[in-house]
Formats: sequence, structure tokens, C-alpha cells
Amino acid sequence: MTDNKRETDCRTGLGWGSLLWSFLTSIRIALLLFTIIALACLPGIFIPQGEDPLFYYHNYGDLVGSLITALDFDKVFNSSWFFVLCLLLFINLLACTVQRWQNFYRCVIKQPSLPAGLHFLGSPFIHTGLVLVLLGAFIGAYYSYEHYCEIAVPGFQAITLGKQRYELKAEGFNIEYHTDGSPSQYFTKLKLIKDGNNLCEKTISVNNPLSYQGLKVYQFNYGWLLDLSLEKDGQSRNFLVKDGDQLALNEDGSELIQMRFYPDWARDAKGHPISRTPQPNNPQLAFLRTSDGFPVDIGMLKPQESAELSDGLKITFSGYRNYTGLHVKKDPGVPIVFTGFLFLGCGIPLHYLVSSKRRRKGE
Amino acid sequence: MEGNLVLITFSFYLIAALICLVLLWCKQHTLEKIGIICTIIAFILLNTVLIYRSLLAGRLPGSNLYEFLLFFAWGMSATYLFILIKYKLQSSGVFILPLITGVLGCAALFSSRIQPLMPALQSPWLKFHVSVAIIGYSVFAVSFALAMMSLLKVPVSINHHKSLDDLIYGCNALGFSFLTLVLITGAIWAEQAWGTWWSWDPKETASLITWLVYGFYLHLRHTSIWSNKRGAILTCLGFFAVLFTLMGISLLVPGLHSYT
Repeated sequence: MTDNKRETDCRTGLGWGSLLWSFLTSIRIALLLFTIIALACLPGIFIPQGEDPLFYYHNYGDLVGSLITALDFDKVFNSSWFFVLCLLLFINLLACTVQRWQNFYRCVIKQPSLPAGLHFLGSPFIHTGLVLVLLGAFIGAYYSYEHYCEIAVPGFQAITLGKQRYELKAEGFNIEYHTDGSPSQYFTKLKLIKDGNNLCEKTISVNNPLSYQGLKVYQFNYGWLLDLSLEKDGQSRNFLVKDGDQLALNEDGSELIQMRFYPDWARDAKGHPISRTPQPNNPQLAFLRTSDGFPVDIGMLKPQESAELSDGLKITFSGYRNYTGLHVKKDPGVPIVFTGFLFLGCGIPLHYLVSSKRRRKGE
Repeated sequence: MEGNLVLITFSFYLIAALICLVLLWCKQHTLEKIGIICTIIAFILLNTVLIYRSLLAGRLPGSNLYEFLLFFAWGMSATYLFILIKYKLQSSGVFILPLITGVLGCAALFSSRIQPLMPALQSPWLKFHVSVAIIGYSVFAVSFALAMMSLLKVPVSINHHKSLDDLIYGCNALGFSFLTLVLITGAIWAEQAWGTWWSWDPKETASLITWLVYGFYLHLRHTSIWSNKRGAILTCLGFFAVLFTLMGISLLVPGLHSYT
């Protein structure tokens, strides 16, 4: 059955209801929405998303920059106008899906020719699948929780997702390497704890998250934590600093120590420090102390080594350990989206059965 | 060795493409045959390259842009040979053979070093995601060639009582189904690796645009505003979106799929 026929079917009934229905199920409206959404995606590709407004003024000039921020082209996919477009598409799709099930009912159930009729399920299945995918996306956008945390290994961290409080305990972390030295996989031995009860235990890796009743914990990244102590006038303080971060020595942040950790320290051909491998074969810490942006002290430390800085400050590199970067997520929309995928996966072959059948009949 | 083999394959496709072009003006049976033989030899060579590389890397090629483009050229050749055998549409080679040659040429621009897979790529979904993409994109390439023939009114005779337009529609519908599978496998994989099944990465967004263009085509056919010419133009537009998704994004916009 062609949609032209469907359109005329709808127009046989009079009144506002059927007029609205034919408007909602109109293929032309769907085509219009396809076009607008495809065009709306373009700024999302070509304009870097989610930057500071100043970035756009600087790179695109005042006029274009102000246009970009005013029209939300800097955050297309989080903008209200894009949401409205998706909502309109959803309404249109929902109406079309209902209509396709009605047609299926009219064509097959009323004039039973099952199982041949099963082939006519293709289009309703595909459209139902798409409805579910969009529905899941909406639910996910409003009801999902996300949390990123870095846990020193071994160590634990409390996380709050909505009203639920959990504790994540990282008991071990290791990296496997390819023969060329590049990392092949990251593993974290993880425990999910709630109110002192062990809920779940798993060694997660990239592509293999921990999953517990809709809550998922993903291996996201890793890095080094550096144990340092600073001593001045007989007073000592310990710090745990992330590799690449800087440590503020005073309140206004004008006195800083920048840290860079080299797990496998060496010099390249030009004499610049590099890390030959990510493995701690020759660990060294490079530090740079600045005052109002001007370098004051610079040095390298091996573990357990200390250095005396210009004004009597003593810095000790006590040790290093890994932190594991974890991405915790709870998205109630995912099961709905995946059900939608299942409908799509079934609908596509069913649709093919019907078209090849039609072809054979010479329709 | 692999580089030389790719160069020889490239040359054979180039010769086959030139022969197809000459055939537009002078129909000659021997030349036609030489063209087909060149295409077949090139296809066998391309198979050799891919098998050699798969054995060397211990996995299917498709984990960087170089491998994907070789695989894409292979997919297009396979689809072209299929319609050549089934529908005797040698003239479609005028458009598809230069495309294959171009894709092979582009592949040479990228590093052919076999790199071990980074952690995010180590998933069984990689195979499915890449394979369905190759099939989908190859079918779209053929529908593009057919649409160009329809637009430029290249004389064709198709057996099986099919019109060129029906064939374009069939290709687009098949390609669209596989593109849908590309998006589904990608989403399931992304959910497993990154925790979000859709993250509006430039490549994802470009694929969505491609999907909308072909979705537009498939729906337009059921309305009164349909014409064969409009369908052919949309098919070309869709294939530009495919090429942009495949190469433009990888070269121009950084993102999760930029292979760096």
C-alpha cells in the first residue's frame, strides 16, 4: 500500500480530529523535519561545541561570535530549539507508528493470511523501534546521573548518584602492554559498596564495565599521583598531587610548584626529557617553582630524594602511585533505546521479506 | 611489498576506468572485455592485499583510515562486479571505477603502518561496526554511480525487467538498512566503551545527517512530489554525505572517530 492511499484514507473522515490526524501523520511534515534537523546538525559539526563564549568572539569575530552564542550554535545539541525539533519529530513519528499498526491490523488481522502477514510487520517494527530510541534518549537526557572520579589505588571514594550513596573501592590497577610498548588494556579491580554491604565486585577494563542494577562503572583513564612533603622552619606538610598539576604555596596562588612525572625518564635527541615507556622503570619527578610567573627553582627528584630550594623550603618526593579514572553512570533510558534497536533489527529483515515478495508478485 | 601491490592494483583500476570512459564513445566488444578483465585482476590483487594485511595484523583490516579505505575500495569493487554480472551494467563503471581509484589513491595519503589496537577498539563490535559500514557505503557508492547515469542520461539496457530507478531505489534501501545497523552497532559499542550510546561526536552527527538524507529519499518516493530526477539528485547528495562522513570528518574535525 502506498502512502498516497493512506493519506486519502485519512481524508475520508471529516472534522478537526481527522484533519489534525492527517497533519500529524503527514509524510511531508516528516520530510520537512528531516530537512530541518539535518541542517540543524551542521553547526554542531563545524562549530566547536561547548567552548567559552570568548572563544567564539576571538575566532569568529564580534558579529558572528555573538550570533553563534545568541542562537546557541555553541551548544546545538543541548539547546532548547533542537529539543523542540526532536520533540516534533517524535510526535510525527509516534503518529506514523500508530497509523502503521492500524494499517497492519486492517491488512492482516482482518483478512488473515498469516504467516504471510508477518512480512507486513517490517514498517511498523522499524517505526516502533525509532519511537523507542527517541523515547529512551529523552528519558536519558532528563533522568540519567553521571559522575567522574579519580581514585588512588588502593583507595576508595564515596559517590552520590541522585539520592543513592555508594562507595567505590579500587583494590588494584594494572596496565597491559603491546610488544611495541603502547598500552593494550587498563584494568581496575573494583568493589561497589553500599551501607557497608558488598554489592558487586569486578575487574573492569575498557569495553568491559561493572554493571549493577542499571548502574555502570567504566574504566575512563588513569594517571599518576605523587606523594610530596614540604618542610620549612621545622614544620612539615604532606601533599598528594596529580601528575601535571601544580601546588600552590600561598593563598593567592602567586607561588606555585608545577609537577611533571616521568615514569621512565630519558632524554630525547634534542636533550628534552621524555618518558620512554609508561612503565615506572626509571621514575623521576621534574618540578618548577615559580613566583609571579617567573621561574625560581627547577630540579629533578628520584623517589625518596629531597631538594633544598632557594628560601630554605625543602621538598621531598616520597613516592608515586596510580589513580584510576572512573566514569560512573546510571541511565534509565538505555534499556528502552536497546529495545528500540531490537525492534529495528527485526523490522529491517521483515521489511525486506515483504518487498522481495511484492517484487516476485510483480506488484 | 604491500605498497607496490596497492600501486599495481591502483593502476589496473585506473586502466579499467579509462576503458569505461572510452567505451562511452565507441562501443567495442574487445575493449569491453579488456575492461572487465582489468577490473577482475584489480579485484583479485586487492583481495591479496587485504588477506596479506589481515594475516600480518592478525585481524580484519578496518581499524585505521588507511585500512578502512582499502576495505571500502574492496566493497565497492565487489558490489560493482555483482551488478556487472547480474545486470550487465558495465557503463556504471564510468562513475564507480574512478571512485575506487580515487579511494585507493586517498588511502596512500594515510599511514599504512600496522598499529596494535588501542583499548577502546578492542571489542567484538569493531568487526560488526566496520563490516556493516563497508557494505552500506559500498552499496551507496553503486547507487551514486547509477544516479549519475540517470542524471547524465547514459544509455543503459538492464535485464530482469528493471528500470534504472528501481535499481537505485533497491540500492538505497539496502544501504539505508546497513547504515541503520552501523548506527546501532556503534551505539551499543559506545555504550560499552564510553558509557554513552550517543555523544554527538562529529562523525556520529555526520552519519545521522547521511541517514536523514537517505530516509528523506525513501519517504519521498511514497509522495506525489517524487520524480526520478529528484530521487537521483538526492542519491548523489546522500553519497556526498557518506564521503564527507568518511573522509571529511576524519581530516577536518577532531573527535572520537578521528583515529588519532
